[in-house]
Amino acid sequence: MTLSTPDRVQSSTPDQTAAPVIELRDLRLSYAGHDVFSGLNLNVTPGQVYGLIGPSGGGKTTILRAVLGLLRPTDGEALLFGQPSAALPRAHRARVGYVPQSFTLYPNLTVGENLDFVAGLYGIGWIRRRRRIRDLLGLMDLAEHHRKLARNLSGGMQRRLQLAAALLHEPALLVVDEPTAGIDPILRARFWDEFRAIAAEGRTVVFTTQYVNEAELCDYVALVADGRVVAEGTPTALRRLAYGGDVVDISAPDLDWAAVQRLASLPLVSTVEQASPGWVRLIVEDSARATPGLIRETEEMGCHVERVATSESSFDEVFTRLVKRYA
Amino acid sequence: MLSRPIRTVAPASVFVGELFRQPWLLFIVILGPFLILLLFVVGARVYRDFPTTIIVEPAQAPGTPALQISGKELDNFLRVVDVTKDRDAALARLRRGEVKLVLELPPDPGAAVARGQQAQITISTNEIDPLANSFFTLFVESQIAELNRQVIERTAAQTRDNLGRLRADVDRAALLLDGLESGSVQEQRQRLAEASRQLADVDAALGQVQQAVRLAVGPVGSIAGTPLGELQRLRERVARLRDEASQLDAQLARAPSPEEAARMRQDVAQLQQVLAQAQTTNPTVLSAPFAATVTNVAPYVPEGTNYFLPGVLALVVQHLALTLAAVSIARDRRLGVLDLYRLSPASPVELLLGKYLGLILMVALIAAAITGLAIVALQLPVLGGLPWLASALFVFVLTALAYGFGIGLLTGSEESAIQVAMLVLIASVAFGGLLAPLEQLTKPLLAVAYLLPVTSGKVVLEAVMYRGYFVNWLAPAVLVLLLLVAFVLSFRLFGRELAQR
Repeated sequence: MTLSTPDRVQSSTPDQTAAPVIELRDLRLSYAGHDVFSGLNLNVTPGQVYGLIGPSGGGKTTILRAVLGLLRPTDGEALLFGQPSAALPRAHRARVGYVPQSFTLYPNLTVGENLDFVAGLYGIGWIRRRRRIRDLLGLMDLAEHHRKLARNLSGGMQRRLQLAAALLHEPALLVVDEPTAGIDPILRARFWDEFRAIAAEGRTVVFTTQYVNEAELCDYVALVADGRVVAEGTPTALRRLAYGGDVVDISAPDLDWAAVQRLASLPLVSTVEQASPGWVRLIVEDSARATPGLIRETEEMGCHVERVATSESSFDEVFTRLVKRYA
Repeated sequence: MLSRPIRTVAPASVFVGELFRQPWLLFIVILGPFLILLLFVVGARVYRDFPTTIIVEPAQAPGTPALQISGKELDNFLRVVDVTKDRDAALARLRRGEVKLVLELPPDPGAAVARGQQAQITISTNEIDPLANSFFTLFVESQIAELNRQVIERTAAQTRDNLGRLRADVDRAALLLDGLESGSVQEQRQRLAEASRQLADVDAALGQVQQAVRLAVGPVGSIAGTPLGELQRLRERVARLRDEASQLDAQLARAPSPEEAARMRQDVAQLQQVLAQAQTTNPTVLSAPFAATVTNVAPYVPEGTNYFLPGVLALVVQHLALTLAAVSIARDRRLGVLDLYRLSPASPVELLLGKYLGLILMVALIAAAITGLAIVALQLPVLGGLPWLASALFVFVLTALAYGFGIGLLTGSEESAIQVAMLVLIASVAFGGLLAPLEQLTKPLLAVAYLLPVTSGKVVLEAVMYRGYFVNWLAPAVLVLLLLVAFVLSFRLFGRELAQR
């Protein structure tokens, strides 16, 4: 994936040379004279789990709907499989699966009937349909409930049913709006397993979430706030972007202020993030290269190093830093 | 490729699934309208009963026997529930709604008739329904016409009886005149005097009858051919005979010539003939010379409210189809299913065709069930044959569905869609030919009425069921035209809806 605004962070995986599944060019959407979002540029390549992450009301769903062509942009272009999403040919529409934020199937039909209906919309024949529905009901743990009316399902079950409906035709691109909102951690983990499995097959998953920490599970993340993409990249790249490099924590009981200053002056160290007697957090360009030198230097100063760790700070913090920096 | 039919069937499956998921709903949707139809047919009456009436008689019986009317005699077109002399009590009962009419007989009809005026019968009603008032007026006028006819008939019968008695006098006068040429002058004068007396009696009796008839039927009776006219002619003949007798009596010096005697005999013979004719005249014919015989060339005349059944059936089916279609679109929009449609490979044509398919199956099934039940339970004919009935229902249901989809696509929510469907229902009841015949609508209103499927649908169903042929092709042509326009428009609107972002 490539990032256009405001920072560009390159990633090594997956295949960046493949034609993008989603491409947004200077996309702008205005409503009643107010820009909901503007200057939006995104590329999503195949095989990614791509997250649009940000607080509620930040414009994630609106961007997603513009991507799918469900909203007509004021300016710019939204392409799906290289085609304008608002006029997507039938063959390409058949390659997209969409799970909206709310339940959009028929409450008075059973689980099985709803899946049957969606399968019909995608022209899936009855024999293949039976097999797909059976497999997906098993996968989503809904097999026992297939005769239950959708309106009688719990919220979590309805989310699973909606996801199953979106997966029926084995889409190349699965777009999911807030898949994990309001569901329990076990089910959330299952969803993630499914997303990873889809990506492993070379298909693409784009989703929105307000749980910032779910960025960890994505291949690529776009942090969205106030209708803008604040930052975009792999989780690691975003963390580096937030802190200006890798974070290395050193715990040494004898570490004093003079020793901290000496460590800070080393060429591989960018800055001292935090320090207290016996502990320091350093920002380095490359933790793998810098860590052995930092241990050696600390020991040479007569400080016994008890623990060295590359910090995996929470994405809440990463997100906060990036928003403060770029918003 | 089977993908296209599979995609088209998908939206249809939703309706089938939802309908059969709720058997009670199916039951209500089919049996409900049928019960409404049945109750309407069995329970509703189109002023079939005569209005309940109290007759207020005058305190004293009228002087003219021929004009004595008994309250009980006024039951040809009125349902007389009471005959009283207490006017105030009768009017109080009218105000309380216990009866529909109070009919007050005139105190002295003979005096009015003698003055050359009609005797006024006063009718009071307490009805605000103009249609009911029209029916009451019709019933009352029919009753008064019947009353007049009865009075004339009664008088004519009495006149005939009186003339029968007069004939004996005339016969005696004829016998006297038969022997006029024989005998002495003295005997001839006696015979003439006797015949003259007989004729004077006849004249006097005729005068009394004439006066009685005049009192009974008024000046109108003087017209030739009516009892008074005939009586006048008779009196003129008697007067001429008496004149001839007087002239002979004045010429006592000689006996009447054979010609004179023969002329008098001839006059008496004519008088006898006229009296004989008068006696054979039927009083009923005299009182009502014209009678009407109605021949209806329509192949079937439905009884009572059965006539309204095709119209009510069209109304029920239209409302059902229109509401279901409108709500299905509005509900899809609310649920977000339209987004699912927009992203699916199915085209708007396939999707809407699927919806048509599902709803036509559902509504046509319901319409067929209701119609079938009505036909069997009420023993109604389908003179046009079942294929025509099925075709008419199919076109009509499809038109109503197209209207419903249009409403659903033009309104923003299920609530608005239902409100518009209700407005169409009210307009259909008002202008669809159910309340008032289409002929009574002004041309602009008629044009509006024909924009409603129920208007042409009702005419077509009536023709198919009760006639077996179309009186003219306007209604079926309008129905097909409405279908084509609404059908095409619904697809355009649906395409526009799905293209909206």
